[in-house]
Amino acid sequence: MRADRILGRAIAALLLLTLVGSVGVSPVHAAKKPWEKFHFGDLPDLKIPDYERHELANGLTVYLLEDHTWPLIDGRVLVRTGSAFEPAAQVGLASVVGDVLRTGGTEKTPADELDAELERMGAYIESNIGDTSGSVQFSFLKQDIDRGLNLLAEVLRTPAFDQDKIDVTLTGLRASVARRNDDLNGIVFREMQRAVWGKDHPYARNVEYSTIDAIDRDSIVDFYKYFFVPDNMSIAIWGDFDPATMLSAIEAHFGDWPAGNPTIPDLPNEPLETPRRRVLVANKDDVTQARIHAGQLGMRADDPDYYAMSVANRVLGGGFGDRLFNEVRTNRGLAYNVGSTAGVGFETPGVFQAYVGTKSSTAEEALGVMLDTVEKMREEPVSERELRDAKDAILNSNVFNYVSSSQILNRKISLEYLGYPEDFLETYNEKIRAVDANDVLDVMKRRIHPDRFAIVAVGKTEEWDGDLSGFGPVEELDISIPEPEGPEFPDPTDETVEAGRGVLAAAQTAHGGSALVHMSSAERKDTVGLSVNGMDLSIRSHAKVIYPDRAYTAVTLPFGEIVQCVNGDSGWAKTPQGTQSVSGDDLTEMRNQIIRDPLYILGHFDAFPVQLLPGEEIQEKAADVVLVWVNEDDEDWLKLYFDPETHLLLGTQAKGTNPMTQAVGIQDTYVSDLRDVDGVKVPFASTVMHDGEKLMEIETTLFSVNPKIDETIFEQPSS
Amino acid sequence: MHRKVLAGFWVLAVGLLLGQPAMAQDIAKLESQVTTFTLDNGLRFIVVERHEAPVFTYFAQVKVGSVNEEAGRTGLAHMFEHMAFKGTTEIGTKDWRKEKRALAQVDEAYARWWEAKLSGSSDSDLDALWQGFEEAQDAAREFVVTNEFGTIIEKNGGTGLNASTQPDVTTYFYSLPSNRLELWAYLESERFERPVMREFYTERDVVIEERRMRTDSSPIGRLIEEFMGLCFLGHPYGQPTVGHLSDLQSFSRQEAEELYRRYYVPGNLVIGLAGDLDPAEVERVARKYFGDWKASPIPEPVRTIEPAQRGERRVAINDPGQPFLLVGFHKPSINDPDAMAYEMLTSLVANGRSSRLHERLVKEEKKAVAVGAITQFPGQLYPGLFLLFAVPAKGVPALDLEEAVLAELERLKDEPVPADELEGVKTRMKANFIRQMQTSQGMVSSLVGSELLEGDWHKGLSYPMDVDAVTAEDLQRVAQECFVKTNRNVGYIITDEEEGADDAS
Repeated sequence: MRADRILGRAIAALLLLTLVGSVGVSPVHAAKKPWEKFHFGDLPDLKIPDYERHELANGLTVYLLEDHTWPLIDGRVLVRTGSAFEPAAQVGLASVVGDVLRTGGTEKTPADELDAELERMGAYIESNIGDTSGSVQFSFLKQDIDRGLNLLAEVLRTPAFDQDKIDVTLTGLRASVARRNDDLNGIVFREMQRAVWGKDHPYARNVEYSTIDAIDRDSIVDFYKYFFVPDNMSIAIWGDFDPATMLSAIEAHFGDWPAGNPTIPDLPNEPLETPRRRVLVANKDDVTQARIHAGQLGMRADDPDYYAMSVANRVLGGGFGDRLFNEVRTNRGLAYNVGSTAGVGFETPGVFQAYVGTKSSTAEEALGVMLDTVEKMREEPVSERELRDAKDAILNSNVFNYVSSSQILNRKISLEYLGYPEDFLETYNEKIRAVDANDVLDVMKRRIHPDRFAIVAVGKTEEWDGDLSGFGPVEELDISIPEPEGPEFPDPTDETVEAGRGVLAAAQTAHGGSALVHMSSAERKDTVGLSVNGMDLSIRSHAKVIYPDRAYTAVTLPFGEIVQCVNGDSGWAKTPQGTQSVSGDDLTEMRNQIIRDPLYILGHFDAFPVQLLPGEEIQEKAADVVLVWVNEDDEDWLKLYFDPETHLLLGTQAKGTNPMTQAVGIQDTYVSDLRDVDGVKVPFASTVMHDGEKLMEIETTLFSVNPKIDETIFEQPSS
Repeated sequence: MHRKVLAGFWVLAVGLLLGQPAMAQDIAKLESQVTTFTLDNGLRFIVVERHEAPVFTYFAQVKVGSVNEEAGRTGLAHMFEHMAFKGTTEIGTKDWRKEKRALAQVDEAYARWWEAKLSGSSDSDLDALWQGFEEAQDAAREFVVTNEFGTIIEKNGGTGLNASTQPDVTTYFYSLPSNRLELWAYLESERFERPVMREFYTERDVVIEERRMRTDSSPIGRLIEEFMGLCFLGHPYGQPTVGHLSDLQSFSRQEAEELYRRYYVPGNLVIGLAGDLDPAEVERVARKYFGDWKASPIPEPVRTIEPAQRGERRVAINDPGQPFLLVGFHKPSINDPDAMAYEMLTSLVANGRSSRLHERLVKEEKKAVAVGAITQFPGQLYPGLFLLFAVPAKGVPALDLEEAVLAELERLKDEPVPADELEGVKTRMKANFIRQMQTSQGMVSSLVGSELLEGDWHKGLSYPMDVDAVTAEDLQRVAQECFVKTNRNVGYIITDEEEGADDAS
C-alpha cells in the first residue's frame, strides 16, 4: 500500500517536471486547452447564387432569383431617396411618404381594403424611407402572385396618399416627438448624432412639431413623384417562380411606367460640426442610471482603414469579453450595457462611439475607465491573443452573412447600388486576415482622436459622483421638446375687431390716404445685407408688382441671377440651370408674399380679417398691435406695429423661413427711414430678425408708385 | 432526400392555407424532418435538419425562472443565467484548485459581513468586514481568465450569443458553423454540469445595473412592475423577474448554487439544435458529453394557485413619462383546451392593421398610435393574464382609451365573430406560422418550448390544425368567461402634467 503511494507520487512528480520543462523551453507547445483540441472540417466556400439581372427600357433594374425551397415569392424594391433630401422645414416628410405610400391605399384599392386583402392572403407589402434610401418589401404565397404583383404595382405607381391616413401617420409622428425623452438610450443616441454631425445636419436634425405641421399632402405627393420613378429604383424578387414568366409579368406591370430622369443630389456626408472635446450634459430626474457616450465621426466601408477598424473595435468593445466589457462590466460591475461601435457605414459614415450605462453615483468613474480603455488602444499594440480572437470571431462568423441565397442577393444589390467594387464580398476575408497588431494600433492613432471626442451624458446629475468637468468643457444640453409653433391669439370680439380697423384706418391716412389706396403697382430695388458663416454678403433685388397677384422679382447672387414670378394662377422660377413652373403650395406662398406687403394691407385692410391685440413694445417703443390674417386657411398671419401717436408703421412680425438654414421661426421686421414717394409714406430701411437673431438688413434704393410695367415680363419664358 | 422532406412540408403549408384536407399525412412528412432522443439521465434532445447553409442554431430551455424564487431571493434565477457565462472548472480559470479555495474564502468573508449586518454591528466594523470581503474577491480574481467561455464561442464564429430569463423558463442560445458541433457539446455540457460561479458579487452589481436600466429608468418598466404586483396576490407571477433591489443586494453565491442544484437537472431541460446536422452524429456527441450527467429528481411545480379575483383592480402611477394603458384579465395556462381561442382573440383584437382596436383607436379615432395584445403574460406554464396595451396619441390621457378597449371586448361577448373576419384572422395566423417555421431558430424554439412546457414537441407543429379547430362560438364563450369586470385589472401612467401642479407638491 505504502510503497504504491510513494511510487505514485514519484511518477506524478516526474510527469510534472516534464510538463514544466516543456513549458519552460517552448511555450508554443503548452498543453492545449480542451476546447483547442477539436479538429474542424472545412466549411464549403462562399457561393454566390445564380441570379438574373435585367434592365427595362424605362431604366427599372430587375433582379430575379429562382428558389423553390418554399412556396413563397418575396422581394424588395430599393429606391434612391431619403430624409437626407427633405427640406429642413419639413423634417419627417420622407418618413411620412415612406409610411403612407402603403398605408394610404391606392387609387384603385382604398387603404382599408388593401390592409384587409393583404391580411386575408397572408401576404404583406410594407414600405419605408430611411436617411438615404427607401424600400418596399413584399411577400406573397405562390398561389397569390398575380394579385400580389397587381397590388404592388398599384402601391408603387398610383398611391392615393389618402388625407385621413396621412393624419394617422402624422399623429404617430407627433406622439414619437412627445415620447422621445422617455427613453434614456434614445436621448443619448440622438444627441450624439447631433453633436458629431451638427444639429441642423440632415442625418441629425430632429423631427419637431413645427416640421410636422409643415408637412402637407402636396409636399408628400411632390416628394413621391420626384423619387418614385422606374429609373431611380430596382426590384429584386426571389422564390418559387420561373424567371422568364416573372420577367414578362414585371414588364407587363412596370414596362409602361415613364422614366423620370431625376437628379439625385450627392449625399451630405460632410459634418457641419468641427470636432472638439466637449462634455454635453442633460439632466433627467426620473432615472437611476447615467448613460454616457463618447465618440466622433466614423468612416465608410470603402475606406481602406475599414478592415483594421473592424478588428480594433472587436477588441475594444464589439464582442463578448472585449476590453470595455471586461474592464467596466466584469471587473468593476459598473455597467450592464457597455461597449463600442466601429462607426462604419456602407453609405454614410457612422459614429464611432464608446458607451456605458451606469448608476448615477459612478458616472464619472465609469466615463474615466471607458476613456482610458479607448486611449490604451492608441498607446500599445493589442496582444497576439486578442488579435487572433478578434479576427477569428469576424472570419468564422462571416458564414452567417450568407445563410440564405436571398440574403446574399440583397447584399449584392446593396453593394451595386452603392457603387462598391464587384469583388467586395469575395475579398473581405482576405483583407481581415491581413490585419496585424500594428495596423490596429496605427488605425486607432490616425483615425480615432479622443482629444476631439464629443461626450454626451444624460442622467440625474445631482446624484453623480462629479460634474465631468475634468473631461472637457461642460455644456448644458437642452433636450426640452419645443411646443408646436405658432403663438396662440385671443379669440376676436366685436370690440377688438372694431378697434383694429380703427388703428388701420388711422395708419392708412398717415401713410398717404387715397394715394395709398390707389397704389395698384410698384417697382422697387433693394440691397440686402446678409451674414453667412461670418461672411458679409450683399445681394441686389429688383421687383415689379401689379397688385394683388402679379410679381416679378430678380435677385442677383454671386453665381448668377434668379427670377421668381407669379402671374395670377401660374408661376415660374428661373435659375442658371433653367426655368421651372411653380405650382401648389409654393405658388400659394409666393402669392401670399405679394399681399403680405404692409403697404398693400394698409390700402386694402377691409379685405382681411383683423383684430386689435394688447399693446406691446417694439424696440423699446410702445406700439399699437393689429393682427391681420393674410390667409386664414394657411394660418398665415401678420402682426403690424404702429406708433400710437403718428400712426406710422414701426414693424411687423410673422412666421418665416431662414433662407440659410431653412428653419421656420418667428421673424420680426423693424422699419425706418420713411420717405414720401408720390404721396405714399414708404419705409426705405428695414432689419429682419429670425427668432431673435439678426438675419438681414434691407436698404431700398428705388421705389416708384404706379410705374409703367411691361406685362410680358410675367409670362414664363420658353426654355 | 432532405429536399423532398421540405417540399412535403410546403405542400402541407399551402394545403392548410387553401383549406385542403390530408393534413395528418402531411404533418407526418414534416415530422420526419425532426429527430428526438432522450438520454438515460432524462435529458431530451430535438434535432431539426436544415441543410441550406453550413451552420446550426442552438436553443436550450430549462424549466426554472422567477416563479421558483421565494421572498427575499427574487432575481436568483436570472442571476444564475448570468453566472452560466462565467466558465467552468476547466474554462475561465488559471488554476481551478487554487481558485476553488479562494472562492470559499470569498463566501466566508461575505457571510461574516452579512451576519454582522444582521446583528447590528457598528458601521466601522461593517466597513472593515466589507474591506476583508473585497480583498478576498481580489484574491480570487487573480485566477480568472476573464470571459473565456463567451470568447471561445465568438472566436469560433458564434453569433447571437445570449440568454434570457422569464418567469417559467430560462433560455440559452447561439449559432455556430456546423463543423463546430463537438465543440458545442463540450462547451454546453461543461456549462450545465460544472459551472463555476466566479465573480459572483461583481456580476450582482451588473445585474443591479440591468434592473436600473430596464425597470427603474423606464416609464413602462416602472408601470409593469407595479401592475404585476397588483394582478397577482399569491402566485409568483406577480414578482419581478429581475428581482427586487433589496434582494439583489443581499443574496449570496451559495443561494444561487442551491437554485442551480435543484433546477438544473437533466430531466428539467430540453436541448434543441437546428441546421446542417446529421442526427446520428448529434446523438453520438450528446451521449459522449452529456451522458455522464447524473439524473436527479425533477423539481415540483409551483404549488400556489392564484385565487379567483373578487373585484376590479386599478393602479395609476404618477410618472414624468408619457401616458400608457394596460388592461389585463386572468386566464388559464397554455395547457388549457381554450389556449388557441385566446391566442386568436389577441390577433382579432389588437395585432395587425386590420385588428379591431387598431382600426378603431389608431385609424378611425386617432386617439392611439399603437395597440397590442399578449395572449399569456408574463409566463406560459401557469394561469396568467390576457394583456392589452395601448399607446395614446400626444395629449390623450391613458384613460381616454379605456372605454374603447372595453367596448371592443364587450362586442366580442355580444356578437359572434363574422365568418369572413374569422377566416381572415385564421389565414393570417397560419401564414405567420409558416414564416416562423421558415427559419431554423423559429422552428426549433417552437418545438423546444412545446416539449418543455406542454410535454410534447408535436404541439409546436399542430398549430395550423389548432387554429382551424377554433369556432366563432368558442371565441364568444371564452370572451364571456374572461372579459368580466371582476376579473379586470387596469394600470396606467398619469403624467405629471395631467396630475396638475397642485398635487405635485
